[in-house]
Amino acid sequence: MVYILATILLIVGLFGVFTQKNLIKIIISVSIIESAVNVFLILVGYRSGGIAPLMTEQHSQAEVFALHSVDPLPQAMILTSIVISLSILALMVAISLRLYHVYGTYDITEIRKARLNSKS
Amino acid sequence: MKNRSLIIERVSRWMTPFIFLYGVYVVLYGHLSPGGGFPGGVILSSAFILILLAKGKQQALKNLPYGLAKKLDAIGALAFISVALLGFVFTGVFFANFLQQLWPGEPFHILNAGTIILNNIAIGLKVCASLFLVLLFLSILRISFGKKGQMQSMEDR
Amino acid sequence: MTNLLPLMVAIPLAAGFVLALIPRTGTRTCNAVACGASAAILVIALLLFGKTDAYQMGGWEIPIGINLSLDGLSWLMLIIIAVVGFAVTLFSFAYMDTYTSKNRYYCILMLMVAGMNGTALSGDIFNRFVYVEIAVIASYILVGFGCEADELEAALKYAVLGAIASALTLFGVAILYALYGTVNIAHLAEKISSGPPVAAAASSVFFAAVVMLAGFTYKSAAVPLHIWQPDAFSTAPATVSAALSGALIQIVGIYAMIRTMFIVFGITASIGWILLCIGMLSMAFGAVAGAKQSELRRMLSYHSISQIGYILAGLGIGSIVIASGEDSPVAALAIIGALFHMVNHAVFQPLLFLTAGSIESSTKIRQIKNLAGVARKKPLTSAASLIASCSIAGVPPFGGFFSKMMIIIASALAGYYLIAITVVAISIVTLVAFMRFQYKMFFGQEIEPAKIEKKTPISMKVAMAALSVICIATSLLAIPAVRSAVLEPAKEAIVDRESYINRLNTDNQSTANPTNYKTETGK
Repeated sequence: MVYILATILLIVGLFGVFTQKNLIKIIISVSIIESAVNVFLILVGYRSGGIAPLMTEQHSQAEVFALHSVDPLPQAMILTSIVISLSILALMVAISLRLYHVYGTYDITEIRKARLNSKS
Repeated sequence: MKNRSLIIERVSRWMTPFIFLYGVYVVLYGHLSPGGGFPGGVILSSAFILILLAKGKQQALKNLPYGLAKKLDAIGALAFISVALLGFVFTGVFFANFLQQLWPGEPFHILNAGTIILNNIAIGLKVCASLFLVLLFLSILRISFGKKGQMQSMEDR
Repeated sequence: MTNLLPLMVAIPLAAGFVLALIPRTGTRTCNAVACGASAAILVIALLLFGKTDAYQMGGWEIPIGINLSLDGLSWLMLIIIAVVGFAVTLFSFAYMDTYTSKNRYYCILMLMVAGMNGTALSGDIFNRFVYVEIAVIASYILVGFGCEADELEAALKYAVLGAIASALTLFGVAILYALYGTVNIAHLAEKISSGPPVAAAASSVFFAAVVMLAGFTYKSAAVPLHIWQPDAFSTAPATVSAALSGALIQIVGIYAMIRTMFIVFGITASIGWILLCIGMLSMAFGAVAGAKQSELRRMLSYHSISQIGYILAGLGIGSIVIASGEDSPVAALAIIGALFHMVNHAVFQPLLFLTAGSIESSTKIRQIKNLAGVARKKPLTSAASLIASCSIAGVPPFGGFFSKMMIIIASALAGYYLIAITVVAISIVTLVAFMRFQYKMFFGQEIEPAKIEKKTPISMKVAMAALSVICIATSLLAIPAVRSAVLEPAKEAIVDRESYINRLNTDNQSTANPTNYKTETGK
């Protein structure tokens, strides 16, 4: 199930990246792909009815804790990967704003046309 | 940005301290409860971003000046590295939790995790400053839709 | 000595943030800090020669903690990164003066070096992913550093496709974690070699291998996924192209690929064939497309793709031979040839880009046809360019000749004569392309004399001279004694999966013994 969900999201994102003409939509599709992977990772560590991976005084023994909690490692991992996707997202948005400044459009076909015109 | 709603301005003024306080709580309790440096830093920066959105850039820069944000960004990262290096100096192992060995503390109380709280504070500062800077720069790059293809910084308006 | 390992990451990282604190006007301080940091990692990399170790961060033992591992291959990577990083930093002193905010440039360059060093050392696949991301995000910024329209476009293309590639890599990591419950390379290798947990999972493992291979192929700019590379390298500042092509992104992509494919998944014939196909395709495509380019740096970037192809082909032949269980000297020859070519590529490619940058900054020439007569005006730059061209084209006394020869002989000995002939043919195409370029530069008829607008600064000269000396010196690696000291351990690290597993499992040199359970901190 998890695999199917993640794969569907991944394909939606890939489809968006390769068919959309608008830079902002492409960036949104890239973040859909990244969310697909994050969803997959978080669901891998899920256990139905598990507690948050947080040691409290009720679960202070490591063994008891391990029996009840969901897997903390994927959560730490997606936190890192969210930070990474955030920085890539900010960078891409900044670059596309600069491109808009130059060409006055977000449409990649028009940008390509304008670029060819300026070269020749 | 001339016609600002009075309601938004008032409400954001009331909200900001609470958001800020909650951010500080999340940063400081990161080793005991859900949260930590990154989420706490995001909440902290959202306080500034709220000011930026509700009251404009000038007011936001009065609360967190650009130069200070830039310095905090670098200092937060340097603080994180230096905590790691202090572990290297004291025990010979990078990132060693040297405070924990010196002073174990009591489990499930705030002063128990040694260097982790320091790391959280450093990360919180860095994330707060850098997210604020990201939004600030994106708002400087705003597009004025009057003239197509031309960009003006907010000062020009 | 080996507890200096984390400093390889910490020094450039700290230097990067110190540089961010220095105001924009303090370029002299910036130069000093950046130069000091790259010199420091060069010294540490030299001190680590011949060591193997596993280092536990914070004293946490392996199933819990993060570890760094050092072996011959990682050492080779570290030294390549340190040398190229140092040369590029030195060259940037004068070259980057035309750009504003030099402190930010150095800051990002240092972050990139930190990410690279981390990639070379990291002992688990998730941290490797994170380090690769640090390096790659820094490289997106560096490609778009000048904020010209072309650069921005190249950077955006690179960033969008790069984000997809890294998402795929992370997907592979996630699948492996879902199946085996660990991300540590040694543990994963151990568990994968003892078979999948359930029979149905074999296809998932294969899928993970494919997506990770795709991600790393993108990073190393091998052929199906090379489209970002020529645009990015021909528009970015020359120092950035030098750093990215030579050592940093491309070689690190290859390194991550080697580690993942050979250590984690184990050497199989199918992976060997995939690598060989990618390698042959990039080799042919790069040489053919490079031959008809008129712009100097664009030509160099296509040839860079071609050289990456040689490395992949060598690795592919080596792993096919190993998987078929035949005589290992042939496999060893192929893999050592590939590693040797990697070292060569990491020296001549930055040198070529730096000379192109030097020519560009003083004469504003970007086209090959305008190069005529430059050699008389800029003797040192042209000499350096000639040395690098001879090496990339495989002229006998230079390192490039020996490494290409090793790959060709290995493929002939393994019985793949067709591949050997193709490699020879492509080498000839490369030779012709570079001879054309050098002929133009030395003997070309000047239509209008090239104007020298400013002299080459001393720091650029030092950087180019140093890399030229190293470029000549790499041919020493053909001597068996030197080879066995430098390249043999790296080859062992690739081939010998068992020792990697054992090293991480036994070397528990933890000094701090944590008593409480680890609480997760948000980073």
